[in-house]
Amino acid sequence: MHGKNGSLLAGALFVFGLLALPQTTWAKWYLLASTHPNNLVVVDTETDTVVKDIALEGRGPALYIAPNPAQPQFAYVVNNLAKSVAMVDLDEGKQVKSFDLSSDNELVRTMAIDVNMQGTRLFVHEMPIQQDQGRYTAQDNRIRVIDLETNETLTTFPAPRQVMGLASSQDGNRLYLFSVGQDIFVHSTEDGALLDTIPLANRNISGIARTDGLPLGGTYQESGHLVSFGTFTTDSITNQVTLGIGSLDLTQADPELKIVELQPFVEGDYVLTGALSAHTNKAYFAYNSLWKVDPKTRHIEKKVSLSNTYFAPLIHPEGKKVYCGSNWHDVAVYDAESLDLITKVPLGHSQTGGVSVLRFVNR
Amino acid sequence: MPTGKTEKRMRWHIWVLLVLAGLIGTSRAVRAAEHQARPSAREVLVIRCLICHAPQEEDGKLDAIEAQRKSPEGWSMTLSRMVRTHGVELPDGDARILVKYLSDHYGLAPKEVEPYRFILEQRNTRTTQDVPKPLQSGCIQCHTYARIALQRRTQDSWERLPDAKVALMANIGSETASAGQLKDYWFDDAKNSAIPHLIKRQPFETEAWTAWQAVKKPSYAGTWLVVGHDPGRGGVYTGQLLLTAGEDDQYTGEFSYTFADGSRMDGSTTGTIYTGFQWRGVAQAKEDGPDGREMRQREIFFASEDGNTVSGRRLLTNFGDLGMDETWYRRRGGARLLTVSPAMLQAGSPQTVKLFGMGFSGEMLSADKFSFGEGVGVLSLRLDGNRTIVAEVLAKAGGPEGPRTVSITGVAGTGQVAVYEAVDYIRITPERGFARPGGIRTPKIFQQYEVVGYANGPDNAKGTDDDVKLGRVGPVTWNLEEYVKRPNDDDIQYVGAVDQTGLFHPNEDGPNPKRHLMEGNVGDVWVEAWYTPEGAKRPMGARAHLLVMPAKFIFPPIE
Amino acid sequence: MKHLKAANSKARAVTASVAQATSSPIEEDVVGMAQPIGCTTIFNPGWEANPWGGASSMCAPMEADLLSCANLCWWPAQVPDSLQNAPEWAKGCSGMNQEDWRNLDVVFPKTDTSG
Repeated sequence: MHGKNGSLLAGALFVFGLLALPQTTWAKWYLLASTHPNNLVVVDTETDTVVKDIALEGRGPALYIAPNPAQPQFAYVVNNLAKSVAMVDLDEGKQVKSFDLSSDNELVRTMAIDVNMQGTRLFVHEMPIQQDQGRYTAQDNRIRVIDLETNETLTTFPAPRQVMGLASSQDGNRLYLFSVGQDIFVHSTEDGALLDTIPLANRNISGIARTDGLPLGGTYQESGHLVSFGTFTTDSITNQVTLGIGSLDLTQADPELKIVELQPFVEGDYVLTGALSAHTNKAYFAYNSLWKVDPKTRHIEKKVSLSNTYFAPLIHPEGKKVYCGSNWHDVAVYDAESLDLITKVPLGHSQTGGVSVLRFVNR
Repeated sequence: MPTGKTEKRMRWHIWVLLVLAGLIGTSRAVRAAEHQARPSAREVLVIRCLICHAPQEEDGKLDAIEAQRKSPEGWSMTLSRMVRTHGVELPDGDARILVKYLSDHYGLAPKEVEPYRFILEQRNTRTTQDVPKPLQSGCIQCHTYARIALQRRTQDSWERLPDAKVALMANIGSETASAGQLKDYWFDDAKNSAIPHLIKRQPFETEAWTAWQAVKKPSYAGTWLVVGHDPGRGGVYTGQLLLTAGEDDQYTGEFSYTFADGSRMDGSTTGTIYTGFQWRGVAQAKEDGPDGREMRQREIFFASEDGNTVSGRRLLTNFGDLGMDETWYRRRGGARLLTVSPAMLQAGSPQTVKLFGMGFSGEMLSADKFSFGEGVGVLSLRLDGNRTIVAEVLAKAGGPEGPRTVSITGVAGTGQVAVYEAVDYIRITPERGFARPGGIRTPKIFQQYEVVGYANGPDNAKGTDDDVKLGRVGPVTWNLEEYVKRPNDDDIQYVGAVDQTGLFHPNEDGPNPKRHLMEGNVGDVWVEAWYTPEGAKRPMGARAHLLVMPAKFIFPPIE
Repeated sequence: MKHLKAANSKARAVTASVAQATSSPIEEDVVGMAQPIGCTTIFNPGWEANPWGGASSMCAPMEADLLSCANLCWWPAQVPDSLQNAPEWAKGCSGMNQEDWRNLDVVFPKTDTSG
């Protein structure tokens, strides 16, 4: 596979250089979905049909996916009870390598991986536990940096706990660490140094008690390096919880976290997971209904009931469709403008998780 | 280049070899001497656990295991986890031996169990409100406080807990954080807040445990008189339980109960006493009559420290949703009054009540020996066997409403009755209940409701401190009403139904294709009860909340 | 902790239960429920109760949100954790739909204290 690397990398960089947003016309976008028991399902998003169902090796469930934007033939998938990262050849339809994170007396699991835009580094957030006879000792968490040329570990550096999402800056110099209930941490990919902490849970705004977000990275590379997620802001004056959309533009050298509060979070009619379209700047939220909200006016422009809960709304990289996932056996595809249901794509298996188990890849 | 760690491991391996060698030697010697291969409970512990739990150098105690104390259920859960996640081979017989040994030697004292025994009795609708602040964000998101409160550990054992939690539940930090109560990382919150609290408040060594270990534990063999309440049938039931002792704190028993409506239930039980006071039994019972059900029941009971009273819950299902409250009184010399039934005395009309107890005789049947409290006179007395006195009493009209204590001169024990003019209002208990759909894949979780009548009391105002709780009233008509929580709310069509005994039957589990979003048969509804006292023009009503929650897939002995 | 309260059902449910318990002359053991004080988070109101302690507008059917509860151990008290404690729990369930959920396991940890 190394022989192919050069040309693939050059091609990807060329396209990348031409287009600010990955609206490629020379190739097609595919949806990758992690499913039970241990499969990676590939969906052609032109026809919205399953074109490959790749059974991974070892134990499932298949979980978080990191496509390789520079070598889109390959994708990385967490599996083996979160203890391994499988490298999958999408063209050949098979697993070609497994990065096993654990060793004899160290149990290592991960809930977040990422491959940079250049396709040169695989980042794995590791949660190591030292196992001695009759005793566990939780170790400090760390980021493992794997060189994808050699598939060898280059380095590891300390990282916070509870990380559930990783994202690389467009230039590949910084790694963003996202977690539930904490701020966003920015580390140097060069030496692992903590470069910045972007306040999310702990924004210094008097009158706001807390901001909760679920910033799990999602399809950021496919969306012009825009990380976006639903937020819940609790004020300390009336105690209202307000649904909002948070976004972070990773094309910027020093991006600001933008949070726009949109709708009250109330019982009876609420949505949870959100994404912001890099094309139209409309926010989409899903749960038991699918909302399209204009962050400028804060109005819900369109709202449709879903056929069952889909808690993961993903905006197609070309911006025209919204793919809604859950643990159900299908992905529901909606028109991004009208929110009309276009189709449902049966995957043949149950989906395994949240946002990061569905990604798009351009082939 | 041996590091400190490898040195430690080497030392540990030597220990293993020494102890194993010792054990083999011992058991061989025993076999040779007695032709008997049954290892002691402690030997079973060592054989099964030593491979991972090294003996401590200072005292030979097995690492981690002999540094904590908990309930039999707690130990059972620990053993289940060892089998489930660590591949320990543990035949049923050994598991029983270990739960018994560990509960006896590393158990909890009665005083330590008492405040939280409700969770062992699987009264899962009940919640402890006084959760210590350090545990609020990190622990009770997933556990009941009672489950935590029923553990004692050494400092080292507590300190190791967060690490074990992270190992056993990979996502524990994010899961807990996502509930929005945690400021810090879960691991740090646990280490810096919860664990120091637990080290201080729930230490391994306590006065209560030291004292309890020194107490000579009684035998529970003999005759017990039983008083209970079945929320399904209402009223008081009484009966007898005869326990026969077997080996190693095991007992067999036969029981025979009579309910307030005259129906009967007979059965047999086998049970074990743990830690000298905790009874866990399994009973086979059969109701009388042509439609009498045969039932497997679980008994979770706790003896008083003197061993003369045993109380707890007779569970009618495996999940704690249905059960009977029951107390056993040891038959001793002398006469003792245990209960009076029914316990509601309406002023102005004569009423027959039964006094249940032990050692009753004809000599007692003199009205001047009986006290039913202010304003209540005894009209007649009759002995029915040596355990029941049937009394006709009259509470005179115009006296104060309120509770009265019943006593008999020369007889130990008292009973309680309440005098009232009229039932002024009713309430449903529990006022917040829950159920779960089931029957296809997961078990149905039922909810039993009861109606309790109240009198307004001397101030004649509803809802004040002097209101008199009277007891169950009937007949009652039950129905469900929509709890309108959202536009076009329609839960009531799907959740299930309440029958005329106040038992809520949930619907089936699984997606319901007839419902919007294929939602399962869950929802919020009101349960309503209607009661018309004799002579009243209109019924009085009461409402209780019922939350029918999604099916559950895991049923630990301690929720 | 007031500032942490509003986003979550739990504190509210506790508060409500306490209020009820202290104002109520009804039986002592009926002071509220363990469940909404258990495992509902602001992000996944699919289980037990929604963030307001009720059962409306939860994830529907809950089977559409069931496997991520197990895979990420979001609901350890209700769903077996399939990364560590019960890896085989959903083995029989290959394509979650109206029928497939019937193949999930129900886990009853053994009680060796029953008799």
